[in-house]
Amino acid sequence: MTVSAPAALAPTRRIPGEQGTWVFLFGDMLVFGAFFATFMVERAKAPEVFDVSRKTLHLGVGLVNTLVLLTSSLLVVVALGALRSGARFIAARAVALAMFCGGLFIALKVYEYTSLVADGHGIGANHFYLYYFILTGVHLFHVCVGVGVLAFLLTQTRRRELSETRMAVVEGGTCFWHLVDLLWIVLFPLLYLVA
Amino acid sequence: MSGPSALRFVPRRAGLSWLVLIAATLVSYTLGVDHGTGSVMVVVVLAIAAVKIRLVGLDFMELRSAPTPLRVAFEGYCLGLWGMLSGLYLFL
Amino acid sequence: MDLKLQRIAAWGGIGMLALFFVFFMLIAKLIPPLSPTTSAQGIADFLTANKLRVRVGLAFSLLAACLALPWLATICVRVRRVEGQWGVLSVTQIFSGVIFVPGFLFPMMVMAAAAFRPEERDPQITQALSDVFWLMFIGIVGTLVVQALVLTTASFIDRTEPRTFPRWFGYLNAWYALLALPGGAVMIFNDGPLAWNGVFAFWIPLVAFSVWMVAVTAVLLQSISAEQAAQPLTAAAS
Repeated sequence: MTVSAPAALAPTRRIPGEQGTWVFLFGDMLVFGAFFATFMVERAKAPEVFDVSRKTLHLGVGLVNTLVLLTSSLLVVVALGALRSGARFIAARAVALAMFCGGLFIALKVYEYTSLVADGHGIGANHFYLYYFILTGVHLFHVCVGVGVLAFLLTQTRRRELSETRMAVVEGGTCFWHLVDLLWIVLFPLLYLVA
Repeated sequence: MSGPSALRFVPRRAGLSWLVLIAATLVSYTLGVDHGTGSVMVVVVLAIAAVKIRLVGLDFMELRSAPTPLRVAFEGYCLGLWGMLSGLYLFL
Repeated sequence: MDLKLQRIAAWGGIGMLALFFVFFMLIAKLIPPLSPTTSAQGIADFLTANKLRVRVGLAFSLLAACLALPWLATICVRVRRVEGQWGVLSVTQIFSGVIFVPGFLFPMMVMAAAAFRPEERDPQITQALSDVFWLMFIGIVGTLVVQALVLTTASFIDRTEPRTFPRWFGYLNAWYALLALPGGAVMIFNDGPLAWNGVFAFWIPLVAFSVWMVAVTAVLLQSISAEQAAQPLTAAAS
């Protein structure tokens, strides 16, 4: 049985996190947009090569990774709600589980990478693989940073009280994790499904 | 285990969005696998991605209750991204 | 007096950026970069054909880079303000400042050597000098990342009154640091987006760097003004 987050009835609009959070998040979104566009432009130069190479990717692993990140985002939403209500134990557990999901994503990615390289599809094999490894690599770096951010959130669940600024940083941290999820939601179809 | 008691902290919207996101992921996957090539399918798959990121922003990042300019900027991004990628796919 | 000098010095960054745009990019034509796959003869031909422009552009760029010195000093002094004394953040910022200007000067001197008499030289030598220029010029990126992360930290721990660095500035620096990082990959790739003429390792970091320099200047000026306004009206001994 779910209920709305406490005090959600007040219709005042507020910025999730703080202003600066969105300087960072939008900045990152725009840059990734440029990355995505660059991929599409490169693809147009050699569509057959890209399509053949695309089919060697581990579609199932990509799918599982998407589901893993989506679930981790939900866990982070739970954690934030729990933290706001003072349910620090639940918040800590939820963050820890989200971190586990992040770790799972990383492990699956490493498996994918090593398996591709073993099959001769390394970063230098052709332009598709070059962009695949670079785009997913930069994203993977974001995931690692994200796990670090979640670790920070975990330490914050131990505090009895969070000042307004600290809470804003925590919210910003959760938004960063959702960004990591968001970017993968675009990357997965772009790399694995676009024929 | 934090089980059922944790569900208290899932705003209804977010929980529903998560279900939609999971479903949409499976739909895209199926479309991509079964219907491989074809411009329409790619545009549809990209559209699904745009809808998904919109949900992540609005319901996970809580942009639904954010000041209008921020929300508009985000929705603009989702739309713009879909338009740009579809355009590059179709016209290059 | 000190704040007045800081104000003036704060403009050094923009000055450098504007002059670089003119001399390094428009006159010397060094941006857009020649591809890392260009043949030795290709590079020698480019430099021979543009010998005068490149050398004039570099000569002025070498001087323009030095405008950043007082700008960097101002940044260090203001980070010190946040710490209350010379501490890890402000001293690291000094180190970053010390490397920033030579990081431009030394590679450019190498390129100037390449452009000095390319028609008399074996093209292989010219190519080698040109490679050294690009790898040095972009490879230094790690120091810029650390410099930015120091500013992120300073922005978040700032408790000065009036504030030295706004919180959003901390986030901006984190974004800039993240984007500058791929520049390090230029050692590894001869072509593609991570090469020294590539989207990810050159163009995006270049845009981020320019945005950063403008943002730093704006923040410096704003906080110096605020500090000046908050000073007691009686003439203050520094």
